[in-house]
Amino acid sequence: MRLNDTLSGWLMLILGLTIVACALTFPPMPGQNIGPALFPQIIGGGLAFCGVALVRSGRRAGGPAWVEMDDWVGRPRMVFNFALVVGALVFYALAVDTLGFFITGFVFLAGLFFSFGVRRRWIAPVAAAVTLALHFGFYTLLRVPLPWGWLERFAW
Amino acid sequence: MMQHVLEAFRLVCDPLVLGVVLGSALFGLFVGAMPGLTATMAVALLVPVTFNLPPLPAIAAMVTATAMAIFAGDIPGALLRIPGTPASAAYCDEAYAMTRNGEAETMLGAGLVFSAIGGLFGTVVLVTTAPALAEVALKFSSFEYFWLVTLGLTCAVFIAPGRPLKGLASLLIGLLIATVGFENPAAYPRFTFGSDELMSGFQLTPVMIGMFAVSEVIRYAVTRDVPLEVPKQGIGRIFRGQGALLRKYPLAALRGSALGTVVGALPGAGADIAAWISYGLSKRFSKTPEKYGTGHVEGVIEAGSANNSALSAAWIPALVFGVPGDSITAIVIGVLYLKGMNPGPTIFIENPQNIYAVFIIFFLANLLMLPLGWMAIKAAKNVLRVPRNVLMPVILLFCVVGAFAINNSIFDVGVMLAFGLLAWFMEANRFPIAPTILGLVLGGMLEQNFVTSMIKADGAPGAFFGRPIAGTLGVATLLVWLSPLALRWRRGRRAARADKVARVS
Repeated sequence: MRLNDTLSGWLMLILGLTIVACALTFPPMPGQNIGPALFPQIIGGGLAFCGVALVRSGRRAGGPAWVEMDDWVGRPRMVFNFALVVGALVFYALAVDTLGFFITGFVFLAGLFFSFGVRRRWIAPVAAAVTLALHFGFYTLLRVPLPWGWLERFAW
Repeated sequence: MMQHVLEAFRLVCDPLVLGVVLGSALFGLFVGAMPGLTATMAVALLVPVTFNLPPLPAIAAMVTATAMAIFAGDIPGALLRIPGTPASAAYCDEAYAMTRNGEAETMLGAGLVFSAIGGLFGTVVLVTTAPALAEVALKFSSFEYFWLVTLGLTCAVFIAPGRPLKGLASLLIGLLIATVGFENPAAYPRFTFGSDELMSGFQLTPVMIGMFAVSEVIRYAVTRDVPLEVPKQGIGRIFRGQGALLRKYPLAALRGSALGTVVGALPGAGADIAAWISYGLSKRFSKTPEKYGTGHVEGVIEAGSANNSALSAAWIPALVFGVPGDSITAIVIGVLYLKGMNPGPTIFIENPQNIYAVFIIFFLANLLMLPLGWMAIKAAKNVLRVPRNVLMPVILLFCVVGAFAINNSIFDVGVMLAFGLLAWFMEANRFPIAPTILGLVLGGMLEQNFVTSMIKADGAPGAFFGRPIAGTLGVATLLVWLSPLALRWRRGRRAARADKVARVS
């Protein structure tokens, strides 16, 4: 997704001004002229400056569209893939504590394999093998406490 | 000194260290050779794996993996016309043209041999200059550090590909992210939105994994996966004729290595930019510029040694000042802090044996590159057959577990996703990523030194130029910032003059 420079400029200007406004509420450091607000104010001011400059150059260059979609947006398959990658990560974050790493990891991989077009009969075995291997590497070797969830009874 | 060097050799000869070097070398070769996986990604993925290792093997893994990955990026460039890492993009067409002329062996051999030469050159410069610079850096006060960081960030903005305006915006975004949390001179929690997790700011590792690995997976997901057409012909003796090439083009190898070293040591520019600049210069200074693009080895030699020397040289400012020379060392600096080897001049006094050991690892990695790289070239046809539709989901799950592993917190997985989307979006809109990373890593240091200096100076800005080195760095920084204005002014005057001449005639 490509934004017109004018639009990214406006967004940046709004962001910069919001930061400056937020920073105005920060308390000063006792006994000093400079406090925690100074740096965010400089950054916010800088972003606002970049925003204005981008709006100006965007206007000059002219551009037909505010938002130019990449060609993949026209292809439903690619939009689906994009949503799937983001969705898979959200799914993992929400589900892993309940379902446990094995089930979540397996579903995560199998779903992505399926939509990336991996051959059907390979999906389940590869997803299972990779989940097991990652669990061995991180849980057993590196001692990362990956959650067990529903499989708590079988924990090792 | 001698006993420190001996101690360093003893540290390196530890079987754990040697095993890690070998393992990360193979990992680096694989990542570098797979199109779509970068050397920076290799380091980001290594952070969680090396989390529980002692400092030296953890650093050794990153040194070795990146050196191998930057070389291995040449392999698919030559065989498929797809650079394995961005650092090989500059001469990818040239390399492929050589393959089509039936010179694949010479090309891959030159890529390997001159990568090693460049890497060794950069290492020699690192070993000789870093301790000397550290002596100077010991005398630095907050003023010098403030200007040094400012100059570094300035370089990052102006060297980054594309318009400086977008580079500046990227930098400010990085600095903004760095302000989150209460770790600032006033210890006031900023932009935490009441979240406990954000109190100590964004953790570097999930951010880096997001920006360098998740963003690549997203990019893969939205592009149609074209199966790689791996050429069927076998690869013969790659080392044949390399000695003759070295005798024929010693100047190209030297110039590439030297330029790569300088570009690498400058903050914000790494191996990829070094290769682009070097390839361009090579063409300009060559006796036979007309051969470039038709499968001429000279540019490959020069740019191929430049990207590897840049990789080593990026460690000079990283180790001596804690100012990263490229995105890779930005991650490494985070690891150094985690391991209690805080970068800065004192590291050369407190832990000299560790630093010497890191230097030895650099030599070892660049020498190991020759046999292992040879193996990688021989195995390339099979490695490139690894289907990416299997690889990418596996990498994504690896990212998730890796981001989780640092603090055992699901929150970090969310951070990783957010920064993955940010990096992907920025790249699509031609905002360079490197300035953001530098701003993120150096934001705290910049503010700390600025506030300390302001308190010392009692509000008088003249004090920032009061000491010789600080003054020089300060003036240099201001000159770089003013240069675009000066250029525009000159261009405007020239245009006005041309206009006048045109009207008179």
